[in-house]
Amino acid sequence: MKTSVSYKIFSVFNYTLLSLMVILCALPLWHILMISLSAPGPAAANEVGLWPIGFMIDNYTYALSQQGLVQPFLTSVQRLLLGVTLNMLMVIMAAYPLSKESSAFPGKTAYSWIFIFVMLFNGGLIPNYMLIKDLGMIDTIWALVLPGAVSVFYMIIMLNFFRQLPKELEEAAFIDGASHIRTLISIYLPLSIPSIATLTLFASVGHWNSWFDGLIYMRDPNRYPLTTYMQSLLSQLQRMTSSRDAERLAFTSRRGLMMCYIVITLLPIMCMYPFLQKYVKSGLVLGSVKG
Amino acid sequence: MGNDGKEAFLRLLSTFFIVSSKEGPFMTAQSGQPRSSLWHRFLVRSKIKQTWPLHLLLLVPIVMVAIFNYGPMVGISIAFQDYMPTKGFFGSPWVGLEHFQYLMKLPDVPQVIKNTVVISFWKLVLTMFSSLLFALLINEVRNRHFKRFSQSVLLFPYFMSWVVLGGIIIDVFQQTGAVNKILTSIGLEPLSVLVDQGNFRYLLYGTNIWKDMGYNMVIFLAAISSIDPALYESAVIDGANRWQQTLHITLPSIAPMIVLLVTLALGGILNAGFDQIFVLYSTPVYQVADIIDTYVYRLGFLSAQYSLATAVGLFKSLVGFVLIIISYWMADRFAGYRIF
Amino acid sequence: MKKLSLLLVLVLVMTSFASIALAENELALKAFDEPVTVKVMRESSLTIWFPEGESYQKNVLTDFYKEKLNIDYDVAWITDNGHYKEQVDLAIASNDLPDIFEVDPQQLYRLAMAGQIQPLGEVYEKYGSDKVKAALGLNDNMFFDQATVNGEMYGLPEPNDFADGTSLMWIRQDWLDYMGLTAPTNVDELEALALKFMEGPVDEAGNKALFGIGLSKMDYPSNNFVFRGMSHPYDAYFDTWIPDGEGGLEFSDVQPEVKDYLAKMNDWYTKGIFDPEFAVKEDSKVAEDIGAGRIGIMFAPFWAPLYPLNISLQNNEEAQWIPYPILPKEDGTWKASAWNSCKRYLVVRTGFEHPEAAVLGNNLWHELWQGDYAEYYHGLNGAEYAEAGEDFKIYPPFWFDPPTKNIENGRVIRELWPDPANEDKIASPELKKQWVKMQDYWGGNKDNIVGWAQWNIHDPMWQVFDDYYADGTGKGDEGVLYDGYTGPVTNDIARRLPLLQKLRNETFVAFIMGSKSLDEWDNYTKEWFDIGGQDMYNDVNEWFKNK
Repeated sequence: MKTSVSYKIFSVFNYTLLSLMVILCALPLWHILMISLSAPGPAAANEVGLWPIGFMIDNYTYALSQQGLVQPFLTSVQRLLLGVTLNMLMVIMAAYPLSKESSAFPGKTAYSWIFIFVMLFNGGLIPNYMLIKDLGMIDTIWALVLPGAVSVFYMIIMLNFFRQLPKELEEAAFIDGASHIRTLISIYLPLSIPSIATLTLFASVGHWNSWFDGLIYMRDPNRYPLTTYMQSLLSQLQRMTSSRDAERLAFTSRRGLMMCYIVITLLPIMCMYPFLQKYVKSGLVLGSVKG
Repeated sequence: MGNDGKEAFLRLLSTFFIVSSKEGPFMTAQSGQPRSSLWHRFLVRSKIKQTWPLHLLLLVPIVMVAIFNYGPMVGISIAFQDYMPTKGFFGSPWVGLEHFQYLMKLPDVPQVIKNTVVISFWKLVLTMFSSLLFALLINEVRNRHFKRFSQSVLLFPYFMSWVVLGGIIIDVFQQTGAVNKILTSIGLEPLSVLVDQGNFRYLLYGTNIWKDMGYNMVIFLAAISSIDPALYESAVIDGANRWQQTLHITLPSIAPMIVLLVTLALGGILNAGFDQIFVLYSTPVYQVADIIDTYVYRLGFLSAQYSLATAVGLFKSLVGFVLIIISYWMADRFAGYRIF
Repeated sequence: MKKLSLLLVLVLVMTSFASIALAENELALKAFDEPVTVKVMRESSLTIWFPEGESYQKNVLTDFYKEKLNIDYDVAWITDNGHYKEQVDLAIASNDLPDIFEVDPQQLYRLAMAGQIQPLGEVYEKYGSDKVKAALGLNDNMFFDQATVNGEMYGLPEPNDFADGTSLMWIRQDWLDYMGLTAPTNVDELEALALKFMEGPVDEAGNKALFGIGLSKMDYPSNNFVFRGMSHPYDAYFDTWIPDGEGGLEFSDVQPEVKDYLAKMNDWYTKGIFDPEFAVKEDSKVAEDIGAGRIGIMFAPFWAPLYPLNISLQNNEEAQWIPYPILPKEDGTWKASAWNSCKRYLVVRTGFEHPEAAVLGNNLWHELWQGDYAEYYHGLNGAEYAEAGEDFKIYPPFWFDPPTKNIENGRVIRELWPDPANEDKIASPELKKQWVKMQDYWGGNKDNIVGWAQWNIHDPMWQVFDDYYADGTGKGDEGVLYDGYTGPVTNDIARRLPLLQKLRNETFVAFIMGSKSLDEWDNYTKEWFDIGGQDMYNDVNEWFKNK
């Protein structure tokens, strides 16, 4: 294909704009990283900009030597694996039927609204808590993965991806005598790898970053997932209303350490994206199936 | 699944559909065929013979939401009660709409609702537009490595929490911050955004675009990647340039996704972003930046005034639900398109 | 053999203390005949250290409670203290309460009204040790008023230091010395000093302060000690009920004195003495400015050297902050406002059979922390449990600090300072530990900033209290002003107060920044009364009359 002059100009503009945006989006993280690598004094006084002052890695050696971090990290990984698997299973199981036209699947609209309703209305903190307690799930990993297992938002997005797949493929499969389940597994799923990868990413971020449920459903801090653990550490470092707090802060008032905790929490999930991105390639999958 | 299991499941389903019917779904012992004509009508209308696997697939998700979402909804009742923990959701005294009346009589409520809607609306429009724009721009990048790299980095702010970012944003935009240093060094007047009623909302919109744009952008990119390449090939043969391809193929192909994301966002119109506003705003800009959630928080409803908090939540949900119904109906009526 | 010697030591310890324990209330440390299990909910520190095999559930101190009182603590729920309030709210709302737990005054009122907790007046009277009663009885049992609902006492106070909310004026002494100035004694001098700091140079390097005085935002989560601390020369106060001279109480925030004070604040704001964006800055942001040497004058309570002033020293070894009394009133007297430093109460669930377990636990804690078993406690803390540091306090489920302990310690230190040989003359094992840190800092270890902070608090800081504010124990002194309303935080108060504070904060900030003219003062007070202030007046005065 020949590229026109105007398209070349556009490309230059495009690369410049995106580069600027990349810098803008990367700076805060860089800034946090630099604070975490600076000496306590300048870090606490907020004098660190884009380069460390009094470079040191003590924060990291201290944070990583904390025994307490290991268990929360494992809990988080467990939660992520279990939770995301459940999420995606539910999403696919519900999105496939709901992606049918209501002429082909009577009852579809009713089902859809049952789910949509849930997206907007909820009982609030107390009844949710009481339910989890009555089900005996307090202090178990199930309290963190089951209540949110059906994510209606992802389901609706998935449903839309499914609907965009060419209808001919499905029809051909039915003529060949394939069942619904068979069609879902051998046609829909392979074709939807980009969207599944995208939603897997979001579900992972969701599970990794949510901390409040860990706080209320885990009565023992040893069972906290990493983000809840970090959140508690941070709130412990920040809270300041009395001599009690001042006393504690005198020993831990280390802004650099806080930033170090933030970096440690962020890193694993940020590494996931490039990995999943591999699967978001345009056209490839579709072409191969069709060809 | 064996034939017996299938039969049993069909029976279960039919009870679900015509449970109130007097005749009921009786089967004859010999033939396994339904006795009543109602049963026959059900079989035809519901296409149950072809669609039972679809119902089966939905069974587990439906059970899950029934337990974990619909179950706790009994708790909504406390919006109409004077909730007492010792008496529970059923025994607490009923007070009707008292909590709603109390809320409506609070000073500033009209202003707060107006702020919420305005901030939420502009955030929705601007952020959605930016994510679409950047999805299209990234789609035009030919260098595979840069494409991947920029996609990843543009999502960075999304991974971080507002509490962390808030402190940094204040550092950057304060009078002695980086932005003002740059402005004064090129001879411009320093800008007051943090405590200036005229500028503060732009700060909210700008930082929100910056932080949340990546999310929708990635969804759009996934949608673009699942467009049939054959469409582009035939367009190229017809002599369409990149701009025309974008306009006539890419955009229409992802239009359903845009409509869907906007509709879902409308459902949350009264959540204008508590975390962001809470970390950035301050007394001088309350007038323009106080939204329902921050207002309610500062009045202490969230610390143990559960009935009031639930009433507020219910109000927000109702408004969101109505908006979703309206946009669903409009898409269906004017574009013949069922959003979900 | 080892067991035997341990037993011997135990017997010795028991006999030596038995006489003292029996001398006072003999029920105060009496063990239960049958073991009693108490389900508790408690705060934690995530960074707490335990030796192998010990935990919150079972450790050297819970073993001690078991041995002395025959109480087993079953720790049902642990939360870091930043989220403790939320967790208690949740436990209350779902009516899933442990046997003994800590609550804030507002929660106490709700629990008492709903009948979820039981009155403790009788068991406290019967089992409370004389020492605990003396420590908690400060200011005619002020702490107990808040826990008294419908005439019954529902919670055991777990107070902090009585001076927790009383401001002092902290000044960068090294700057003062370099510039050859002295600390201000009135409003004009304070203004002059602030401007001089901003002019500079304050040190050899030619630095100068960016802002005169470190003001932070008006609302939560800021404490606003600066705003409170500077108001005294005007006889203006905040969040306080003051005697109106006619046998009733009036609220500080709507008194005309405040108007004059705000006019001055507005004047200083226009002169650039405050951060033009102070309204956005949380205490932690001001702490950064202090650390970076951008501020030289601060108003904060006694604990300021522990945080945030310590950041200043972390960043600059030469920095020195010295406390001065707040500025006096026009007549030359001092009246520093104080708050009720008891924000937590120990309560017992209705239906729990041994409410006295709460009282006994408190008694034993006091003996461990400051009393007969202090040698044992601080000995352990100094040896095998040194790594636990201050967290050793939370090995047992609940703890409190006697409210006047620190000021008394200050007198001891000032008498013995600075001779290192005096270490042996210190009776309190806890104070001995602090003494070592102070000596370490002044002995040349500039990294021991905690040692500096402890010295600053015990020596110059408490000196200010003794010299200017009197001892604040409420025995005939006028140096400290307590809130006239010490009653429970009722649901009505909990509902109205945030509305009134919201109005106050928004209006005051507008007055200071000049976006609203002080001519509108009367409109403000009128609105304040209209949206619930009048009802507050009625309720509070009603309570005051019946007190």
